[in-house]
Amino acid sequence: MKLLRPTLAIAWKDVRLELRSRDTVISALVFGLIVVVVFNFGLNRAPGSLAPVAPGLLWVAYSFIGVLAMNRTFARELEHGGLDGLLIAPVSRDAVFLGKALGSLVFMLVIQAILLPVFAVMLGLPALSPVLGLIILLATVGFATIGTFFAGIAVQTRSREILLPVLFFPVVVPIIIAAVEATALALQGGPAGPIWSRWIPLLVVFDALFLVVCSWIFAFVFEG
Amino acid sequence: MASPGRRAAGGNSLLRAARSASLWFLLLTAALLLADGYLIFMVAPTDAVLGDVQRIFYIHVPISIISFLGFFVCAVAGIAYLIRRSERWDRLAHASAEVGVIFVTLALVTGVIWARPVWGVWWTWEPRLTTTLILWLIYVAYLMIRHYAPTPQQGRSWSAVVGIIGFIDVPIVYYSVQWWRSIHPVQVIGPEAADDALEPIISRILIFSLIAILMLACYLVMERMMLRAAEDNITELRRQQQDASPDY
Amino acid sequence: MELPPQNLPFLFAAFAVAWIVFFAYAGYMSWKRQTAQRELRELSDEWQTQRNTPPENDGP
Repeated sequence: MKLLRPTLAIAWKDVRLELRSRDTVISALVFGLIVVVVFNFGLNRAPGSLAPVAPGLLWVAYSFIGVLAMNRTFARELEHGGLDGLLIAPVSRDAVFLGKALGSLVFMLVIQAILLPVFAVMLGLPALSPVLGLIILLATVGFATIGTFFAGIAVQTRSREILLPVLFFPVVVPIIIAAVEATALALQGGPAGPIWSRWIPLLVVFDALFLVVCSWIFAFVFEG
Repeated sequence: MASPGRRAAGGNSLLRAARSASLWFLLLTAALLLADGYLIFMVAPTDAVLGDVQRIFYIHVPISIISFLGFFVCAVAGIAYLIRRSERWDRLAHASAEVGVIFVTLALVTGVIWARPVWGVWWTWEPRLTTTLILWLIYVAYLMIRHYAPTPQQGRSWSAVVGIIGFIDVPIVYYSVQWWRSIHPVQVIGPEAADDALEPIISRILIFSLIAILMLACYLVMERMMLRAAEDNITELRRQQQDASPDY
Repeated sequence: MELPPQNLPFLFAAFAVAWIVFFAYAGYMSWKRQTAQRELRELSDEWQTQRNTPPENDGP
């Protein structure tokens, strides 16, 4: 396919770059741990009783990590004129968008996979379920889509560190709600019905809708 | 090269005509709003359960509806701008977003003032309130992006895409918050149920109020568009002057 | 019959906030536009005088 090859090439470039330096993954891992430690003091609960708020904490940490990682993927392009190279490259803008989003998705999934067992120990999550894997995948696709789109805008401004979260968080509210609720249901028992009848479809619709819309209008982000 | 001096003069007479039209529009709007105030405070019956505070309803509901309308106009004008590349569409999108943010702020403030005596709390994470708050955040970001863009051209395109994404997002936010709330229900007492069965006098005053406040919103949008046009003219004139000046 | 609750201050607060914001916004815009129009006039006057003086008069 015409779109698939450049998409994979751009994503693979980002992954290879990260494999060499590892700075995004390592800083995001440390940051994720710090978020949990700080929230532990902020919530001031008795030891071991973080479990009721664990799904919320998990997703707060994951979404913060997402913003951090996405800021990095575009900020790295600024060095040595990488962004210009990407834009001059004879590929369509939607391939650039999908490639960067795929790269961010891979980073975030790796970071999340490493952090999940750590969080499970620290927060006392009862069990890890395969459904949780699906929830994390779907929610992270949404994060990567919206995050990459807005990072493309934010990176071109002087105030990119503040602009990305300001744009990102209000728009991903549905993902955060769906992910937290579905995670709570998956981990703490209770009826599994709403996971499949509500939250997973909500995530799928969100992802599909914004993947299409964002790759379609991404060309307008890099003009003028 | 077209003479910018003459163009500005032509623009001035056009602006003068527009200003006199907008003056008449303003007078009509003011009259309607005065009548609206009379209807709300003198004609509308005092609510037996909620007391006088229920009269907030007559401005709170129109203000909320109009803010949603403003963001709809903003998204449509943004799409039109991206297709047509005409300044006019961008001015409309900008003006309706700014007026929309003012309105949505007022909707939140009047909602909070309503909630305290009626529900006993200043704030509750009720679906409509929460969605309105998210909407406010999205469109504040929209205005920020215009401000932070390095060039006006980028500001126009970026804000158009943010407007489109924001508008697509609103219904999803609403449904997700509603589902979320249905799991952790909040105690909502009072006029929620009144929505479907309004007395005719109440709904008539509400519609009158909607029209009056809608006219106010239209006036504000037009005024904002004219301000933007004047500012754009200045920028353009400055640029041409700089280009023509022998010093540069 | 029970009297309705006395909560007039809330009502007045809501209307006062709404009106103050509307007036402030409208006033601010008309002030900004007057400033902009004055600036526009000055700029176009400046442009006219600039055009009326030929460029060769610039040098000594």
